[in-house]
Amino acid sequence: MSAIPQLQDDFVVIRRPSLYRRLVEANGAWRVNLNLAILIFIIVLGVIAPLLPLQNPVKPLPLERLNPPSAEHWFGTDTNGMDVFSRTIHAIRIDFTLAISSVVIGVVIGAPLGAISGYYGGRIDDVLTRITEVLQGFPQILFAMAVLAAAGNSLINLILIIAFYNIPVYSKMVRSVVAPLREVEFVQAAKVAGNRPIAVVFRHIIPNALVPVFSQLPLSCAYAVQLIAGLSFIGLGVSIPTPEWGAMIQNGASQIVFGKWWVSVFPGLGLFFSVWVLNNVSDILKSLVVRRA
Amino acid sequence: MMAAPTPLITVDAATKTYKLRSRSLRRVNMTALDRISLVINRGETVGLVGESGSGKSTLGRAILHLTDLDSGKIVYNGNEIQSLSESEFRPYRRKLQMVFQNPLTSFNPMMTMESALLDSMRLVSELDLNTKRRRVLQLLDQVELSSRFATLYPYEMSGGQLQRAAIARALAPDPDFIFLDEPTAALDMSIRGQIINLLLRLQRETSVSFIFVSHDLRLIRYIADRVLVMYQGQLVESGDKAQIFDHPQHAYTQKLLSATFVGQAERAQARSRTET
Repeated sequence: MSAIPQLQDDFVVIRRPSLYRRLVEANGAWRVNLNLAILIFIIVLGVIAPLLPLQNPVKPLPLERLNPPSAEHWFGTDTNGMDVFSRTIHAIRIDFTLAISSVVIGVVIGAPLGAISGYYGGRIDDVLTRITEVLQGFPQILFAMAVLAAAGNSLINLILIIAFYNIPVYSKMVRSVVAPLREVEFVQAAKVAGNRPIAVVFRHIIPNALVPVFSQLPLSCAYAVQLIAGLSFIGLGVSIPTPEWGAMIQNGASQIVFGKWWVSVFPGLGLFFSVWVLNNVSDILKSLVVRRA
Repeated sequence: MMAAPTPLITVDAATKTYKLRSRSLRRVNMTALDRISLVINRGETVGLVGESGSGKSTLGRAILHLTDLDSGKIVYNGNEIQSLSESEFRPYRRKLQMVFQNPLTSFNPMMTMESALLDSMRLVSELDLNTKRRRVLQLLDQVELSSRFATLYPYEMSGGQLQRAAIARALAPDPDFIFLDEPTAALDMSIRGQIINLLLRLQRETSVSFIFVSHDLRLIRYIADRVLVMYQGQLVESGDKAQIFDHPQHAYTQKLLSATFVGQAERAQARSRTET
Protein backbone atom coordinates (compact mmCIF):
# COMPACT_ATOMS: atom_id res chain seq x y z
CA MET A 1 0.00 0.00 0.00
CA SER A 2 1.39 3.34 -0.95
CA ALA A 3 1.67 5.79 1.90
CA ILE A 4 0.37 9.31 1.57
CA PRO A 5 3.33 11.38 0.36
CA GLN A 6 5.04 13.88 2.60
CA LEU A 7 3.83 17.43 2.22
CA GLN A 8 5.71 20.65 1.82
CA ASP A 9 4.79 23.59 4.00
CA ASP A 10 4.46 26.14 1.24
CA PHE A 11 0.70 25.73 0.84
CA VAL A 12 -1.40 28.62 2.03
CA VAL A 13 -4.51 27.62 3.96
CA ILE A 14 -7.40 29.72 2.70
CA ARG A 15 -10.27 30.95 4.83
CA ARG A 16 -13.77 31.19 3.50
CA PRO A 17 -15.79 34.41 3.97
CA SER A 18 -17.48 35.03 7.31
CA LEU A 19 -21.14 34.27 8.01
CA TYR A 20 -22.06 37.95 7.79
CA ARG A 21 -20.25 38.37 4.46
CA ARG A 22 -22.10 35.38 3.02
CA LEU A 23 -25.44 36.83 4.16
CA VAL A 24 -24.65 40.21 2.61
CA GLU A 25 -23.53 38.59 -0.65
CA ALA A 26 -26.77 36.65 -0.95
CA ASN A 27 -29.21 39.33 0.21
CA GLY A 28 -27.61 42.74 -0.22
CA ALA A 29 -26.21 44.84 2.60
CA TRP A 30 -29.35 46.96 3.08
CA ARG A 31 -31.73 44.09 3.57
CA VAL A 32 -29.44 42.29 6.00
CA ASN A 33 -28.49 45.35 8.03
CA LEU A 34 -31.99 46.81 8.28
CA ASN A 35 -33.73 43.61 9.30
CA LEU A 36 -31.05 42.52 11.73
CA ALA A 37 -31.02 46.05 13.20
CA ILE A 38 -34.79 46.01 13.72
CA LEU A 39 -34.73 42.54 15.25
CA ILE A 40 -31.86 43.48 17.57
CA PHE A 41 -33.66 46.73 18.44
CA ILE A 42 -36.84 44.85 19.41
CA ILE A 43 -34.93 42.32 21.49
CA VAL A 44 -32.83 45.00 23.23
CA LEU A 45 -35.99 47.01 23.88
CA GLY A 46 -37.48 43.98 25.57
CA VAL A 47 -34.36 43.26 27.59
CA ILE A 48 -33.96 46.79 28.94
CA ALA A 49 -37.72 47.50 29.29
CA PRO A 50 -37.62 47.48 33.13
CA LEU A 51 -34.84 50.08 33.04
CA LEU A 52 -36.67 52.50 30.73
CA PRO A 53 -38.68 55.41 32.18
CA LEU A 54 -41.99 53.71 31.32
CA GLN A 55 -45.14 53.74 33.37
CA ASN A 56 -45.85 50.68 35.48
CA PRO A 57 -47.27 48.14 33.00
CA VAL A 58 -49.28 46.22 35.60
CA LYS A 59 -50.67 49.09 37.69
CA PRO A 60 -54.41 49.62 37.08
CA LEU A 61 -55.70 53.18 37.24
CA PRO A 62 -59.48 52.79 37.85
CA LEU A 63 -60.16 56.43 36.99
CA GLU A 64 -58.39 56.32 33.63
CA ARG A 65 -59.98 53.33 31.93
CA LEU A 66 -60.08 53.25 28.13
CA ASN A 67 -58.52 56.67 27.71
CA PRO A 68 -57.55 57.43 24.11
CA PRO A 69 -53.88 58.04 23.22
CA SER A 70 -52.63 61.24 24.82
CA ALA A 71 -49.40 62.91 25.87
CA GLU A 72 -49.53 61.05 29.16
CA HIS A 73 -50.54 57.64 27.80
CA TRP A 74 -49.07 57.50 24.29
CA PHE A 75 -51.04 54.41 23.29
CA GLY A 76 -53.98 55.13 25.63
CA THR A 77 -55.14 52.85 28.45
CA ASP A 78 -56.95 49.51 28.43
CA THR A 79 -60.14 48.28 30.16
CA ASN A 80 -58.31 48.09 33.48
CA GLY A 81 -56.71 51.51 33.07
CA MET A 82 -53.22 50.13 32.45
CA ASP A 83 -50.84 52.00 30.13
CA VAL A 84 -50.90 50.29 26.71
CA PHE A 85 -47.57 51.75 25.56
CA SER A 86 -45.69 50.38 28.53
CA ARG A 87 -47.50 47.05 28.29
CA THR A 88 -46.79 46.71 24.57
CA ILE A 89 -43.07 47.10 25.18
CA HIS A 90 -42.97 44.89 28.27
CA ALA A 91 -44.83 42.19 26.33
CA ILE A 92 -41.79 41.75 24.06
CA ARG A 93 -40.09 39.99 26.96
CA ILE A 94 -42.62 37.27 27.48
CA ASP A 95 -43.70 36.89 23.84
CA PHE A 96 -40.22 36.58 22.37
CA THR A 97 -39.09 34.20 25.11
CA LEU A 98 -42.14 32.02 24.67
CA ALA A 99 -42.40 32.03 20.90
CA ILE A 100 -38.72 31.65 20.06
CA SER A 101 -37.78 29.14 22.75
CA SER A 102 -40.76 26.92 22.08
CA VAL A 103 -40.18 26.96 18.34
CA VAL A 104 -36.46 26.34 18.74
CA ILE A 105 -37.11 23.36 21.02
CA GLY A 106 -39.64 22.06 18.51
CA VAL A 107 -37.15 22.33 15.62
CA VAL A 108 -34.18 20.93 17.54
CA ILE A 109 -36.15 17.82 18.48
CA GLY A 110 -38.45 17.58 15.46
CA ALA A 111 -35.96 18.04 12.61
CA PRO A 112 -33.56 15.23 13.66
CA LEU A 113 -36.50 12.91 14.35
CA GLY A 114 -37.88 13.57 10.88
CA ALA A 115 -34.47 13.17 9.26
CA ILE A 116 -33.82 9.89 11.06
CA SER A 117 -37.19 8.44 10.14
CA GLY A 118 -36.84 9.62 6.54
CA TYR A 119 -33.29 8.30 6.15
CA TYR A 120 -33.56 4.94 7.89
CA GLY A 121 -37.07 4.16 6.69
CA GLY A 122 -38.60 0.77 7.53
CA ARG A 123 -39.48 -0.08 11.12
CA ILE A 124 -37.91 3.05 12.66
CA ASP A 125 -39.87 5.24 10.25
CA ASP A 126 -43.12 3.44 11.06
CA VAL A 127 -42.68 3.83 14.81
CA LEU A 128 -41.66 7.51 14.66
CA THR A 129 -44.40 8.41 12.21
CA ARG A 130 -47.08 6.74 14.34
CA ILE A 131 -45.82 8.59 17.43
CA THR A 132 -45.90 11.97 15.70
CA GLU A 133 -49.36 11.22 14.36
CA VAL A 134 -50.59 10.48 17.87
CA LEU A 135 -49.06 13.77 19.05
CA GLN A 136 -50.74 15.65 16.22
CA GLY A 137 -54.05 13.91 16.67
CA PHE A 138 -54.41 15.22 20.21
CA PRO A 139 -56.60 18.37 20.48
CA GLN A 140 -54.14 21.15 21.16
CA ILE A 141 -56.11 23.29 23.61
CA LEU A 142 -57.38 20.23 25.49
CA PHE A 143 -53.86 18.91 25.83
CA ALA A 144 -52.61 22.28 27.07
CA MET A 145 -55.45 22.49 29.58
CA ALA A 146 -54.72 19.01 30.88
CA VAL A 147 -50.99 19.63 31.27
CA LEU A 148 -51.41 23.05 32.83
CA ALA A 149 -54.00 21.68 35.26
CA ALA A 150 -51.75 18.79 36.22
CA ALA A 151 -48.31 20.40 36.19
CA GLY A 152 -49.16 23.95 37.11
CA ASN A 153 -49.48 27.14 35.13
CA SER A 154 -45.91 28.27 34.57
CA LEU A 155 -43.97 29.82 31.72
CA ILE A 156 -41.77 26.72 31.36
CA ASN A 157 -44.81 24.48 31.02
CA LEU A 158 -46.28 26.79 28.40
CA ILE A 159 -43.05 26.72 26.41
CA LEU A 160 -42.90 22.93 26.59
CA ILE A 161 -46.52 22.54 25.51
CA ILE A 162 -46.02 24.70 22.44
CA ALA A 163 -42.69 23.01 21.69
CA PHE A 164 -44.47 19.70 21.96
CA TYR A 165 -46.95 20.86 19.37
CA ASN A 166 -44.17 21.99 17.03
CA ILE A 167 -42.24 18.69 17.12
CA PRO A 168 -44.53 16.76 14.74
CA VAL A 169 -44.88 19.78 12.45
CA TYR A 170 -41.15 19.94 11.87
CA SER A 171 -40.48 16.22 11.93
CA LYS A 172 -43.05 15.62 9.18
CA MET A 173 -41.75 18.51 7.15
CA VAL A 174 -38.12 17.36 7.35
CA ARG A 175 -39.05 13.72 6.74
CA SER A 176 -40.78 14.59 3.49
CA VAL A 177 -37.67 16.41 2.25
CA VAL A 178 -35.22 13.75 3.45
CA ALA A 179 -36.83 10.69 1.87
CA PRO A 180 -35.95 11.69 -1.71
CA LEU A 181 -32.49 12.91 -0.60
CA ARG A 182 -31.54 9.40 0.52
CA GLU A 183 -30.72 8.22 -3.00
CA VAL A 184 -29.02 11.42 -4.16
CA GLU A 185 -25.41 10.86 -5.16
CA PHE A 186 -23.83 13.15 -2.58
CA VAL A 187 -25.41 11.09 0.19
CA GLN A 188 -23.94 7.95 -1.38
CA ALA A 189 -20.63 9.80 -1.60
CA ALA A 190 -20.86 10.60 2.10
CA LYS A 191 -21.27 6.88 2.80
CA VAL A 192 -18.33 6.04 0.56
CA ALA A 193 -16.27 8.58 2.51
CA GLY A 194 -16.92 6.54 5.64
CA ASN A 195 -19.52 8.65 7.44
CA ARG A 196 -21.46 6.71 10.02
CA PRO A 197 -25.22 6.71 9.29
CA ILE A 198 -25.82 9.24 12.05
CA ALA A 199 -23.12 11.52 10.60
CA VAL A 200 -24.70 11.18 7.16
CA VAL A 201 -27.98 12.38 8.66
CA PHE A 202 -26.59 15.27 10.68
CA ARG A 203 -23.76 16.51 8.45
CA HIS A 204 -25.13 15.87 4.99
CA ILE A 205 -28.88 15.46 5.07
CA ILE A 206 -30.28 17.85 7.68
CA PRO A 207 -28.46 20.96 6.35
CA ASN A 208 -30.02 20.23 2.95
CA ALA A 209 -33.49 19.71 4.36
CA LEU A 210 -33.81 23.01 6.23
CA VAL A 211 -35.26 25.24 3.50
CA PRO A 212 -38.94 24.59 4.28
CA VAL A 213 -38.13 24.76 7.99
CA PHE A 214 -36.91 28.34 7.62
CA SER A 215 -40.15 29.32 5.88
CA GLN A 216 -42.17 27.80 8.67
CA LEU A 217 -40.25 29.33 11.61
CA PRO A 218 -41.85 32.82 11.79
CA LEU A 219 -45.30 31.34 11.21
CA SER A 220 -44.77 29.00 14.14
CA CYS A 221 -43.68 31.94 16.28
CA ALA A 222 -46.86 33.84 15.40
CA TYR A 223 -48.91 30.72 16.01
CA ALA A 224 -47.29 30.29 19.42
CA VAL A 225 -48.37 33.81 20.43
CA GLN A 226 -51.85 33.15 19.10
CA LEU A 227 -52.05 29.93 21.12
CA ILE A 228 -50.98 31.73 24.28
CA ALA A 229 -53.69 34.34 23.67
CA GLY A 230 -56.23 31.56 23.24
CA LEU A 231 -55.11 29.90 26.46
CA SER A 232 -55.18 33.25 28.27
CA PHE A 233 -58.75 33.72 27.12
CA ILE A 234 -59.89 30.57 28.90
CA GLY A 235 -57.97 31.51 32.01
CA LEU A 236 -54.84 29.46 31.35
CA GLY A 237 -51.60 30.65 29.89
CA VAL A 238 -50.67 34.16 30.90
CA SER A 239 -52.72 35.56 33.78
CA ILE A 240 -54.40 38.95 33.53
CA PRO A 241 -51.95 41.64 34.63
CA THR A 242 -48.94 40.12 32.86
CA PRO A 243 -48.30 42.08 29.66
CA GLU A 244 -48.62 39.78 26.66
CA TRP A 245 -49.69 40.75 23.14
CA GLY A 246 -52.19 37.98 22.53
CA ALA A 247 -53.95 38.56 25.85
CA MET A 248 -53.95 42.32 25.25
CA ILE A 249 -55.52 41.95 21.81
CA GLN A 250 -58.09 39.62 23.34
CA ASN A 251 -58.75 42.19 26.07
CA GLY A 252 -59.43 45.00 23.60
CA ALA A 253 -61.24 43.01 20.94
CA SER A 254 -64.69 43.69 22.40
CA GLN A 255 -63.92 47.42 22.61
CA ILE A 256 -63.20 47.97 18.92
CA VAL A 257 -66.89 48.15 18.02
CA PHE A 258 -67.22 51.06 20.47
CA GLY A 259 -64.44 52.92 18.69
CA LYS A 260 -61.83 52.15 21.35
CA TRP A 261 -59.36 50.77 18.82
CA TRP A 262 -56.10 51.53 20.64
CA VAL A 263 -56.40 48.75 23.17
CA SER A 264 -56.02 46.03 20.49
CA VAL A 265 -54.34 47.81 17.61
CA PHE A 266 -51.03 48.69 19.30
CA PRO A 267 -50.22 45.22 20.65
CA GLY A 268 -51.48 43.92 17.30
CA LEU A 269 -48.99 46.15 15.53
CA GLY A 270 -46.27 44.90 17.86
CA LEU A 271 -47.13 41.30 17.00
CA PHE A 272 -47.43 42.04 13.29
CA PHE A 273 -44.14 43.90 13.19
CA SER A 274 -42.29 41.19 15.12
CA VAL A 275 -43.57 38.39 12.90
CA TRP A 276 -42.73 40.43 9.82
CA VAL A 277 -39.16 41.02 10.98
CA LEU A 278 -38.76 37.39 12.05
CA ASN A 279 -40.03 36.39 8.62
CA ASN A 280 -37.47 38.63 6.90
CA VAL A 281 -34.66 37.38 9.10
CA SER A 282 -35.56 33.76 8.50
CA ASP A 283 -35.67 34.51 4.76
CA ILE A 284 -32.20 35.99 5.01
CA LEU A 285 -30.89 33.03 7.00
CA LYS A 286 -32.53 30.71 4.48
CA SER A 287 -30.04 31.92 1.87
CA LEU A 288 -27.39 29.99 3.82
CA VAL A 289 -29.12 26.67 3.28
CA VAL A 290 -30.85 27.01 -0.08
CA ARG A 291 -29.77 24.04 -2.18
CA ARG A 292 -27.74 25.47 -4.96
CA ALA A 293 -28.23 23.43 -8.08
CA MET B 1 2.13 -3.34 -17.22
CA MET B 2 3.12 -5.44 -14.26
CA ALA B 3 5.07 -8.62 -14.54
CA ALA B 4 2.93 -10.72 -12.21
CA PRO B 5 -0.47 -9.15 -11.61
CA THR B 6 -1.75 -9.66 -8.08
CA PRO B 7 -5.52 -9.80 -7.60
CA LEU B 8 -6.80 -6.83 -5.62
CA ILE B 9 -10.50 -7.56 -5.80
CA THR B 10 -12.08 -10.89 -6.64
CA VAL B 11 -15.79 -11.16 -7.28
CA ASP B 12 -17.12 -14.71 -7.27
CA ALA B 13 -20.60 -15.63 -8.50
CA ALA B 14 -22.17 -12.40 -7.30
CA THR B 15 -25.92 -12.44 -7.69
CA LYS B 16 -28.41 -9.69 -6.97
CA THR B 17 -32.10 -9.67 -7.76
CA TYR B 18 -34.34 -6.68 -7.29
CA LYS B 19 -37.94 -7.44 -6.47
CA LEU B 20 -40.11 -4.95 -8.24
CA ARG B 21 -43.82 -4.79 -7.93
CA SER B 22 -45.62 -3.77 -11.07
CA ARG B 23 -48.90 -1.91 -11.09
CA SER B 24 -50.98 -5.05 -11.35
CA LEU B 25 -49.48 -6.28 -8.03
CA ARG B 26 -47.64 -8.96 -9.96
CA ARG B 27 -44.16 -9.50 -8.58
CA VAL B 28 -41.45 -8.88 -11.10
CA ASN B 29 -37.91 -10.01 -10.41
CA MET B 30 -35.15 -8.13 -12.09
CA THR B 31 -31.77 -9.80 -12.04
CA ALA B 32 -29.20 -7.03 -11.89
CA LEU B 33 -26.25 -9.36 -11.32
CA ASP B 34 -26.35 -12.96 -12.48
CA ARG B 35 -23.43 -15.02 -11.14
CA ILE B 36 -20.82 -12.42 -11.98
CA SER B 37 -17.20 -13.46 -11.43
CA LEU B 38 -14.26 -11.24 -12.12
CA VAL B 39 -10.80 -10.34 -10.92
CA ILE B 40 -9.32 -6.88 -10.72
CA ASN B 41 -5.57 -6.68 -10.46
CA ARG B 42 -3.57 -4.04 -8.69
CA GLY B 43 -2.95 -0.97 -10.81
CA GLU B 44 -4.98 -1.98 -13.84
CA THR B 45 -7.90 -0.32 -15.57
CA VAL B 46 -10.83 -2.54 -16.37
CA GLY B 47 -13.32 -1.17 -18.87
CA LEU B 48 -16.93 -2.16 -18.21
CA VAL B 49 -19.41 -1.81 -21.04
CA GLY B 50 -23.04 -2.71 -21.39
CA GLU B 51 -26.37 -1.11 -22.05
CA SER B 52 -28.38 0.79 -19.44
CA GLY B 53 -29.84 -1.53 -16.84
CA SER B 54 -27.32 -4.29 -17.49
CA GLY B 55 -26.12 -4.19 -13.89
CA LYS B 56 -22.92 -2.17 -14.25
CA SER B 57 -23.72 0.26 -11.47
CA THR B 58 -25.07 -2.48 -9.23
CA LEU B 59 -21.74 -4.29 -9.57
CA GLY B 60 -19.87 -1.17 -8.46
CA ARG B 61 -22.29 -0.49 -5.64
CA ALA B 62 -21.88 -4.08 -4.45
CA ILE B 63 -18.07 -3.82 -4.40
CA LEU B 64 -18.38 -0.55 -2.47
CA HIS B 65 -20.82 -2.07 -0.01
CA LEU B 66 -23.64 0.27 -0.98
CA THR B 67 -25.82 -2.69 -2.01
CA ASP B 68 -26.10 -6.13 -0.44
CA LEU B 69 -25.65 -9.21 -2.57
CA ASP B 70 -28.13 -12.09 -2.55
CA SER B 71 -25.27 -14.56 -2.90
CA GLY B 72 -21.68 -14.69 -3.99
CA LYS B 73 -18.40 -13.51 -2.63
CA ILE B 74 -16.37 -10.34 -2.89
CA VAL B 75 -12.78 -10.54 -1.68
CA TYR B 76 -10.61 -7.49 -1.27
CA ASN B 77 -6.94 -7.98 -0.51
CA GLY B 78 -7.61 -11.47 0.87
CA ASN B 79 -10.50 -10.37 3.08
CA GLU B 80 -14.07 -11.35 2.37
CA ILE B 81 -15.98 -8.06 2.49
CA GLN B 82 -19.49 -8.64 1.22
CA SER B 83 -20.74 -10.29 4.42
CA LEU B 84 -19.43 -7.58 6.75
CA SER B 85 -21.79 -5.24 8.54
CA GLU B 86 -21.60 -1.55 7.77
CA SER B 87 -19.44 -0.81 10.81
CA GLU B 88 -17.14 -3.78 10.20
CA PHE B 89 -16.72 -2.63 6.61
CA ARG B 90 -15.91 0.99 7.52
CA PRO B 91 -12.11 0.44 7.78
CA TYR B 92 -12.13 -0.66 4.11
CA ARG B 93 -14.08 2.40 2.97
CA ARG B 94 -11.02 4.55 2.47
CA LYS B 95 -9.42 1.96 0.20
CA LEU B 96 -12.47 1.56 -2.07
CA GLN B 97 -13.67 4.80 -3.60
CA MET B 98 -16.05 5.93 -6.30
CA VAL B 99 -16.56 8.74 -8.81
CA PHE B 100 -20.18 9.33 -9.71
CA GLN B 101 -21.73 9.94 -13.08
CA ASN B 102 -23.25 13.34 -12.43
CA PRO B 103 -20.76 15.74 -10.84
CA LEU B 104 -23.50 18.32 -10.17
CA THR B 105 -25.33 16.07 -7.70
CA SER B 106 -22.40 14.20 -6.22
CA PHE B 107 -21.32 17.08 -3.97
CA ASN B 108 -23.14 18.23 -0.87
CA PRO B 109 -24.44 21.69 -1.86
CA MET B 110 -23.77 22.96 1.66
CA MET B 111 -20.07 22.13 1.70
CA THR B 112 -17.11 23.89 0.18
CA MET B 113 -14.64 21.78 -1.76
CA GLU B 114 -12.31 21.89 1.21
CA SER B 115 -14.90 20.48 3.61
CA ALA B 116 -15.94 17.88 1.03
CA LEU B 117 -12.36 16.70 0.59
CA LEU B 118 -11.73 16.79 4.34
CA ASP B 119 -14.90 14.76 4.82
CA SER B 120 -13.61 12.07 2.48
CA MET B 121 -10.45 11.88 4.61
CA ARG B 122 -12.40 11.31 7.81
CA LEU B 123 -11.07 7.76 8.10
CA VAL B 124 -7.49 8.84 7.52
CA SER B 125 -6.45 8.88 11.15
CA GLU B 126 -2.69 9.17 10.67
CA LEU B 127 -2.87 12.81 9.53
CA ASP B 128 -3.86 15.76 11.73
CA LEU B 129 -6.27 18.44 10.56
CA ASN B 130 -3.64 20.91 9.41
CA THR B 131 -1.86 18.29 7.34
CA LYS B 132 -5.18 17.26 5.84
CA ARG B 133 -5.95 20.84 4.90
CA ARG B 134 -2.63 21.11 3.14
CA ARG B 135 -3.30 17.79 1.44
CA VAL B 136 -6.59 19.21 0.12
CA LEU B 137 -4.69 21.91 -1.72
CA GLN B 138 -2.16 19.38 -2.93
CA LEU B 139 -4.96 17.17 -4.26
CA LEU B 140 -6.61 20.09 -6.02
CA ASP B 141 -3.25 20.83 -7.58
CA GLN B 142 -2.98 17.20 -8.66
CA VAL B 143 -6.27 17.44 -10.56
CA GLU B 144 -5.22 20.79 -12.03
CA LEU B 145 -7.50 23.00 -9.96
CA SER B 146 -6.02 26.09 -8.33
CA SER B 147 -6.17 26.48 -4.55
CA ARG B 148 -8.96 29.06 -4.75
CA PHE B 149 -11.37 26.19 -5.52
CA ALA B 150 -10.99 25.07 -1.90
CA THR B 151 -13.37 27.82 -0.77
CA LEU B 152 -15.95 27.36 -3.52
CA TYR B 153 -19.35 25.72 -3.25
CA PRO B 154 -20.47 23.20 -5.90
CA TYR B 155 -22.90 25.66 -7.49
CA GLU B 156 -20.03 28.03 -8.17
CA MET B 157 -18.17 25.50 -10.31
CA SER B 158 -18.66 23.97 -13.75
CA GLY B 159 -19.32 20.30 -14.41
CA GLY B 160 -15.77 19.65 -15.56
CA GLN B 161 -14.26 21.37 -12.53
CA LEU B 162 -16.59 19.45 -10.23
CA GLN B 163 -15.65 16.15 -11.83
CA ARG B 164 -11.97 16.96 -11.26
CA ALA B 165 -12.81 17.73 -7.64
CA ALA B 166 -14.72 14.43 -7.48
CA ILE B 167 -11.61 12.62 -8.66
CA ALA B 168 -9.56 14.49 -6.04
CA ARG B 169 -12.12 13.45 -3.44
CA ALA B 170 -11.85 9.81 -4.48
CA LEU B 171 -8.05 10.00 -4.30
CA ALA B 172 -7.98 11.84 -0.97
CA PRO B 173 -8.03 8.82 1.39
CA ASP B 174 -5.29 7.08 -0.66
CA PRO B 175 -7.46 4.28 -2.11
CA ASP B 176 -6.47 1.04 -3.87
CA PHE B 177 -9.53 0.99 -6.08
CA ILE B 178 -11.84 3.56 -7.66
CA PHE B 179 -15.11 2.69 -9.35
CA LEU B 180 -15.62 5.26 -12.09
CA ASP B 181 -19.31 5.20 -12.95
CA GLU B 182 -19.46 6.87 -16.36
CA PRO B 183 -17.40 9.79 -15.10
CA THR B 184 -17.46 11.56 -18.46
CA ALA B 185 -21.04 10.90 -19.54
CA ALA B 186 -22.37 14.20 -18.17
CA LEU B 187 -19.52 16.28 -19.58
CA ASP B 188 -19.11 17.80 -23.00
CA MET B 189 -16.62 16.48 -25.51
CA SER B 190 -13.80 18.95 -24.93
CA ILE B 191 -13.77 18.30 -21.17
CA ARG B 192 -13.93 14.52 -21.59
CA GLY B 193 -10.47 14.24 -23.06
CA GLN B 194 -8.97 16.30 -20.24
CA ILE B 195 -10.61 14.14 -17.58
CA ILE B 196 -9.48 10.93 -19.27
CA ASN B 197 -5.89 12.10 -19.55
CA LEU B 198 -6.02 13.23 -15.95
CA LEU B 199 -7.18 9.76 -14.88
CA LEU B 200 -4.43 8.07 -16.87
CA ARG B 201 -1.80 10.33 -15.35
CA LEU B 202 -3.11 9.83 -11.83
CA GLN B 203 -3.07 6.10 -12.27
CA ARG B 204 0.58 6.19 -13.31
CA GLU B 205 1.36 8.28 -10.23
CA THR B 206 -0.63 6.34 -7.64
CA SER B 207 -0.99 2.80 -9.11
CA VAL B 208 -4.65 2.69 -8.11
CA SER B 209 -7.00 0.24 -9.86
CA PHE B 210 -9.97 1.47 -11.87
CA ILE B 211 -13.18 0.00 -13.08
CA PHE B 212 -14.19 2.40 -15.80
CA VAL B 213 -17.82 2.21 -16.85
CA SER B 214 -18.71 3.76 -20.16
CA HIS B 215 -20.97 3.51 -23.17
CA ASP B 216 -18.23 4.99 -25.27
CA LEU B 217 -16.25 2.14 -26.80
CA ARG B 218 -13.59 4.43 -28.22
CA LEU B 219 -12.96 5.70 -24.71
CA ILE B 220 -12.72 2.16 -23.33
CA ARG B 221 -10.32 1.22 -26.06
CA TYR B 222 -8.16 4.21 -25.16
CA ILE B 223 -8.11 3.85 -21.39
CA ALA B 224 -8.68 0.20 -20.44
CA ASP B 225 -6.22 -2.69 -20.11
CA ARG B 226 -8.98 -5.28 -20.05
CA VAL B 227 -12.62 -5.10 -21.05
CA LEU B 228 -15.70 -6.69 -19.49
CA VAL B 229 -18.99 -6.77 -21.35
CA MET B 230 -22.23 -7.05 -19.40
CA TYR B 231 -25.59 -7.87 -20.88
CA GLN B 232 -28.78 -8.27 -18.83
CA GLY B 233 -26.95 -8.90 -15.60
CA GLN B 234 -24.52 -11.42 -17.04
CA LEU B 235 -20.87 -11.06 -17.82
CA VAL B 236 -20.96 -12.17 -21.44
CA GLU B 237 -17.39 -11.51 -22.37
CA SER B 238 -14.13 -10.55 -20.76
CA GLY B 239 -10.60 -10.36 -21.95
CA ASP B 240 -7.79 -8.16 -23.15
CA LYS B 241 -8.71 -5.02 -24.96
CA ALA B 242 -7.26 -6.25 -28.24
CA GLN B 243 -9.08 -9.55 -28.05
CA ILE B 244 -12.48 -7.95 -27.35
CA PHE B 245 -12.17 -5.29 -29.98
CA ASP B 246 -10.63 -7.43 -32.71
CA HIS B 247 -12.27 -10.80 -32.10
CA PRO B 248 -15.53 -10.35 -30.24
CA GLN B 249 -16.99 -13.75 -29.38
CA HIS B 250 -20.45 -12.97 -28.04
CA ALA B 251 -23.24 -11.79 -30.30
CA TYR B 252 -23.98 -8.82 -28.06
CA THR B 253 -20.37 -7.62 -28.16
CA GLN B 254 -20.38 -7.89 -31.93
CA LYS B 255 -23.58 -5.90 -32.10
CA LEU B 256 -22.18 -3.33 -29.72
CA LEU B 257 -19.01 -2.92 -31.75
CA SER B 258 -20.73 -2.68 -35.07
CA ALA B 259 -23.08 -0.03 -33.72
CA THR B 260 -20.24 2.41 -33.18
CA PHE B 261 -18.21 4.60 -35.40
CA VAL B 262 -15.20 2.36 -34.80
CA GLY B 263 -17.16 -0.57 -36.15
CA GLN B 264 -18.00 1.08 -39.40
CA ALA B 265 -15.20 -0.62 -41.27
CA GLU B 266 -16.28 -4.03 -40.03
CA ARG B 267 -19.87 -3.24 -40.94
CA ALA B 268 -18.91 -2.28 -44.44
CA GLN B 269 -16.88 -5.47 -44.76
CA ALA B 270 -19.79 -7.57 -43.59
CA ARG B 271 -22.12 -5.84 -45.98
CA SER B 272 -19.86 -6.40 -48.96
CA ARG B 273 -19.46 -10.03 -47.96
CA THR B 274 -23.23 -10.59 -47.96
CA GLU B 275 -23.67 -8.76 -51.24
CA THR B 276 -21.09 -10.73 -53.14
